[in-house]
Amino acid sequence: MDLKTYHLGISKNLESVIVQSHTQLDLGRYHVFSSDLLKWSNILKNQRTEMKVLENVAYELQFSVFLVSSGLYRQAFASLRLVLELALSGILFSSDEFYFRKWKQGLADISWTKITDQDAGIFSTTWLKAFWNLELDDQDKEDSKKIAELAKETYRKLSGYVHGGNYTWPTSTDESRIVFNQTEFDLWKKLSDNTSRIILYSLLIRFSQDLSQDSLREIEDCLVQIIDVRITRILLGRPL
Amino acid sequence: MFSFRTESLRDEEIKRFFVSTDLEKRIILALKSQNPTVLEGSRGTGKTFLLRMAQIELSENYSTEKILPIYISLSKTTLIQTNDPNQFTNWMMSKICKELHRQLGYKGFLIESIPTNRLIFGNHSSLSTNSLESRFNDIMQAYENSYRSSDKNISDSVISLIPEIEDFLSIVENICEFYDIRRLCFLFDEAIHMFRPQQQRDFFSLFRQLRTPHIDCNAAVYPGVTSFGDSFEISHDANLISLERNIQDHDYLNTMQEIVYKQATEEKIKKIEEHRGHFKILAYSASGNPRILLRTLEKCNNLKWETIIKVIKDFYIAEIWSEHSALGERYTGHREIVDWGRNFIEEKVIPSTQDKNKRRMNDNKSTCYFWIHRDVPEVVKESLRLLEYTGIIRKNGERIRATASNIGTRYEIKLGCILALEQSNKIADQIINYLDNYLFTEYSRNSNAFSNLPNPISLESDSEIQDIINKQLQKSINGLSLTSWQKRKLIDNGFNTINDVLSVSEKEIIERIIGVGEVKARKIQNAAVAEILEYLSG
Repeated sequence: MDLKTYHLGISKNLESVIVQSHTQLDLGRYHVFSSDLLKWSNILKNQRTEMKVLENVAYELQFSVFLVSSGLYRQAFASLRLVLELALSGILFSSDEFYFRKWKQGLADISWTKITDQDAGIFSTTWLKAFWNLELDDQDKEDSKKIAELAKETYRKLSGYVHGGNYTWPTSTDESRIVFNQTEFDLWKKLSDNTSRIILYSLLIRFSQDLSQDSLREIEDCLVQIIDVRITRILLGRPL
Repeated sequence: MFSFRTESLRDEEIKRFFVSTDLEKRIILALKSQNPTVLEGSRGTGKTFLLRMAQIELSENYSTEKILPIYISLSKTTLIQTNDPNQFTNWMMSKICKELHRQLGYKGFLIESIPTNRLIFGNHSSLSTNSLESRFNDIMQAYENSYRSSDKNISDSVISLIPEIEDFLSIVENICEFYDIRRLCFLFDEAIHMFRPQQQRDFFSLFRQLRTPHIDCNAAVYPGVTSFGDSFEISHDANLISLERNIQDHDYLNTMQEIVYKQATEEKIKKIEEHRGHFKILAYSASGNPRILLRTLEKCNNLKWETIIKVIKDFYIAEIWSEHSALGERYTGHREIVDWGRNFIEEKVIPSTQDKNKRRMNDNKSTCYFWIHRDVPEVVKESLRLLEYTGIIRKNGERIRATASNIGTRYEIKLGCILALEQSNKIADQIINYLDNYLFTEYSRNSNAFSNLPNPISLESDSEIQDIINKQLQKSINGLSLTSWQKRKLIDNGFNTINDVLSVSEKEIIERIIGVGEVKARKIQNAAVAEILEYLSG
């Protein structure tokens, strides 16, 4: 068999995995979230041009959904990690023009360490106090702490696949390497749910002051995912 | 800390807190079934919780059952103040279309056209989110912002985008057949506004029309709905279920305890276990209302008798009544009726009940029930309806025969209001154990309790809501959550009231006030809107 036939054969295999993945009917919500990210981008990019990066995040997420649906799990996790990292970097860029300019010119990379810095990162208490202009409740600090832990844990799990940790390789060598795997599928969904939550929370903290009532209404449906966070309820005028 | 509001819970938390008794199972089954259900219960009884639980179950079992749940909250009805005679129907249809669109997206049945399918289709147009969902959003916005706009007209171009009901039904049939959806299950929450009869009629009219083999409608309402409209008959057009946990059920205490234990810390559970008798009194005081039980329990640092009785007194003698009176302060047209109702219960019914309990204790009988003749004046019925809405009383039987074979309705007062008057936990316990709903104080047509009634009011008028909103709009900006500098600048530039701030665009604020840019202008308007929303939702 020639190489082209081999590759076309793989492509056919992907098709059958896609059909199987879609019988579960729960990938739609990730595609909807990519659409929500485009809404955020549209709302923010006029004032904050660096937030145009959310467009790339949205399409990368769609790509990740495609990859997981095709059974290309390692690649789906890697793509998801980029979604998380790029979205949060965008938020960091919005507070640091110099860093953004360097990144744009290829003089600096996005960095998880910078994002999660204890003092100046987007989950730090200083950040929370700087961008959230109302009185901070104990509950708000608790919510922030939980999201920070969720972010670290999610990034760590995704990185395992990027770095090829031993547990991320198939145990059986008999089967094709591209098959539907319920465990990996479920793990991707869980980590993707975490990613949406982290990104939404971080966007809300950073940009709550920039959102008009009309903008809030546009993104209200996606904010419902983090309605358990007190700050969300304050912004949406829901009962505390 | 307990969670009192389902609105602030995620799906995982709702599943974790769910207590599955026969009543809950029956209700969820009814919501999921083909037959339309109207779930009636006062605030805090768990209507939203059960609607959401039905939604979660249907969503999780979609691949086998193929019933698509669509949960819709109509709580923003209050904001709608336009000249469009079909404003409620139009707004509801937009909301339904938007939610249906989003839910179809969640299931992967449709994806928006460009830009979100650009991975395949490339760069055909500029990035625009003028999607179908956005357009419905814009329509809803037009109605929901109308309260602050001086122009109460909705343009025809907006209204023309809203599908007619027949067209909508036809589209739904096509969608269900194409995607092999067995049916749509609509779950309308906060379906009716207590003080807007037109909205009630329009809702039930729509509820009745949304009926095809592929649509099932369900709604959660407060007790005391008056205006079902001409076309809707509650007995024929829906299955009416009352979400009331009966305090005379043998498993009442177990159920309430389970609801608490699902959320309580180990420490709290330990304290409850040490004083089970006192917990029992707290649980029965709440008369089947989980939110009240959780609220009162949260106020108790410990479960000792002195603590419990103080919390019960504070809540059932003071707090619950100030919440009821607040209705009259907000809806001033109803103030006399609200106040009369309060006086009737506090000064007549409760003392009579307490007196009966004293006298019948030796017979091992007690009560928290009273009976009202079916032909009492309308104003009394309206008053009782508002007391039901607040949850201070609830119906305990219709067409009940009393003395001389007269027919009337039996009501139950929140047991906490009765127990709060007792000093001894032993007596409180006895009252709970000996409850007998054949023992009740009767109020006939000619009862002297009805000798000094308030004037009847026109229940049809919508002007009360407009008045309330206008009053709020005329309030000074000094009450807003803004800095002193911002307030000073506003007043210096002629923005004295909330209306002054909301009736202009952000741009105009920026132009008129030096030193205020986009961010500050936005903040000012957001603070004004938040003030109104908080008042209206209160």
